[in-house]
Amino acid sequence: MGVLVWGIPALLWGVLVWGMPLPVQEIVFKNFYTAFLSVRVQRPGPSGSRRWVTSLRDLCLMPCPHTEQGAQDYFSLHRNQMLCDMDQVTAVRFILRQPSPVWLQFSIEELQIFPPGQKSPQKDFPSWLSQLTPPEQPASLHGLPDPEKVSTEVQQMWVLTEVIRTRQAAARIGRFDVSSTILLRASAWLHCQGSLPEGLLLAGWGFGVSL
Amino acid sequence: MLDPDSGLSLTIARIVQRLKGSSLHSQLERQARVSLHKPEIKLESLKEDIKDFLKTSGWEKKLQNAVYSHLSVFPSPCHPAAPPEHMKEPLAYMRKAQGSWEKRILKSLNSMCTELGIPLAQKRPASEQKELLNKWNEMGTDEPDLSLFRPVYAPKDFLEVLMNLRNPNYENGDQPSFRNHLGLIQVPLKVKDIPELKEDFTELGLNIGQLGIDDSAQVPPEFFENEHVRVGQKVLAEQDSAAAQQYVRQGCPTALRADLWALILNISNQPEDILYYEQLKSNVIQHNLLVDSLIYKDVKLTASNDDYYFVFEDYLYQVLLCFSRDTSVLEHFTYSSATPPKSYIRGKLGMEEYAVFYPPNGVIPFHGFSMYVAPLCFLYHEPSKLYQIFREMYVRFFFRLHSISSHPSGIVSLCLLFETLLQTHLPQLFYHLREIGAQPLRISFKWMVRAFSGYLATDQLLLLWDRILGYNSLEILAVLAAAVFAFRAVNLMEVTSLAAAEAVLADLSTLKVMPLLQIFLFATVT
Repeated sequence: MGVLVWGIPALLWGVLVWGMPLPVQEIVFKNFYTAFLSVRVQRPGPSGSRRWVTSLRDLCLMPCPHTEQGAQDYFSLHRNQMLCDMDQVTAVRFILRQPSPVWLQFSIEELQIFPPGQKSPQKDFPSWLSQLTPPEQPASLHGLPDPEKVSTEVQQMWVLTEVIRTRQAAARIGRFDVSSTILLRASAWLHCQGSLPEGLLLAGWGFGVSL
Repeated sequence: MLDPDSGLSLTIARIVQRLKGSSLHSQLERQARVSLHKPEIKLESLKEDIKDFLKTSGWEKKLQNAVYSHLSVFPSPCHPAAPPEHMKEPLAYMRKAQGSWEKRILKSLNSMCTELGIPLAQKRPASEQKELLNKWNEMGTDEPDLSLFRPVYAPKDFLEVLMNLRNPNYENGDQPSFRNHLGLIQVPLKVKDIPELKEDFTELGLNIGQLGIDDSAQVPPEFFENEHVRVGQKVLAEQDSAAAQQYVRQGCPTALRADLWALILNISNQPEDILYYEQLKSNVIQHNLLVDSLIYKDVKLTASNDDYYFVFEDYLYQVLLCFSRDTSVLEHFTYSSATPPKSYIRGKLGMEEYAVFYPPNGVIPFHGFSMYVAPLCFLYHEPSKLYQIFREMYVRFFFRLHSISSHPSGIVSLCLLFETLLQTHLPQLFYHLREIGAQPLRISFKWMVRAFSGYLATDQLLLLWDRILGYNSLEILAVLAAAVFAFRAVNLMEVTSLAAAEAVLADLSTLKVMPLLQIFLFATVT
């Protein structure tokens, strides 16, 4: 699985695995330029097998992915926000998406997972920044933006063409450059702190580049 | 499934905690105790009766206003896992930039100190104290030699810093690409576009009455003005901050402005406030600070030379000198990206227990700082009230105009908003000015940093500040700056140099603020 946007990976995933099934109450982390977060959890299925279940789909962390809003904010995910039962979790997979190509790296940091009863810093505290998972909607076929808005934004393009014309150089616009960002992005890392159950293992943290 | 109630409860807990230490709390308590002697308070329904009493006697309104004021000033609490600096500024690179800018200011201040051989602070000899006390109301007559002092920085220096601000995680190529902004500001903050601004500033719409437009000589006052004044009087009689804030969005009648602003800012000038001001005054008289000379110099260079404000020179010294001693201003650093500078007692350098904030309020004045106070002198003649209004305006708004932050009212966002508005709505003009080396922000930056004080005619400036208070936001400054460019677009298209462009925009004192804003926001075809 993986998505390429203009030659730059737009999707990363990381997996946290621990040996025995444990309940999860809350996940706290600091965002670093991730626009959307999905969480899948592994749970024991029938006859001892383990199944991956989606527990959170495309939570929007950056309302406008090209700009800074929410880019370095702290977030909490509560079990009551999850789409599935979080009682018997053996592994969690975080799937990070960033459709905007302007950021060199994206990741989540200071990840903490709290079992029920453990005092998170959130005690008596609301989930300010966590938001409801949006209901799943089929991809909109009427997704064309407001033409008026486009026309105002197109001015930037117009100036660019002017700039290039006046310089009379075969300047690269740089849009389709496959740059070293892929390597940079591969170094996206996951930072774990105390409070995780014992036997935790950082199993894999990769990025998708296949089309 | 979320629990918004607990979010609310934490905000409530914070407000309660804060109000508990205030004089309002003890006043309420005293009133409740006094009310026990009243015949209408029955023992069996004590709680309800006291509540009713507080409501009918107007104390409940005072409490409401205090809560509302707290909500307007303090940002909603941030995530509990976030460190305190996250509340000051969520973006790490902005915090770093602000930190190094502060270091630069301090270095400049220290080097001036060393050069001139003047200590940061010293006690005045008794004779000097007496002299200062005697001429407290005419400090402007004093002509100390300040030729060696220079302002620590000017808006131009600050603009250079903002221009070099970069997000290290953003792809900033040297080649022009869709990722680079064409203006001077290169940080990818979210700024509003015209449709969003229209929605925010609905009350400035074409079909809504405005002071600054509908009170002109051509419009008979019975259409709008008379009714608006009547409503204003009613709002004042009700003593409701929130209602006053909504009301001033359409402008304040001149006669009611002072009271309405005080109501919005929840300034009542109680005896204890006057006492506090007197204490600050005695602090000024006892000690001489290096920043005093900077304040003198600034007033002499700016307000004293201004046709509108030179008469207020003495007021400005009083307010600004007291402001520099006011440690209650330090509280705003919990939500400002700036950090107050520290100095150490002589010989104890680096020892935290001997560190003090310098100046005591933590704010180092820059060239033009006194212009934040000057327009308020038109409204308030009592120094202690003038002082409190200014302090409240500063901790709500003005500090954002000279610190690096990502806040929508912060100067970085305002600059970007200005450039984006101009570029999307007047692309030809923007391109032309850019090509001749007259980046529009180079001209408009000083307007915005001073919130247009000293550039507009005072009546127009006060109409503009009405809207700042009404919307609790400084974004209107950027909109006005863009509107001024739009208004002078034809002339600006003719110029061929930065100096010529500056000349076209040198005099804004004839502009009418409200029509410009209205046309730019609501009557421009996009």
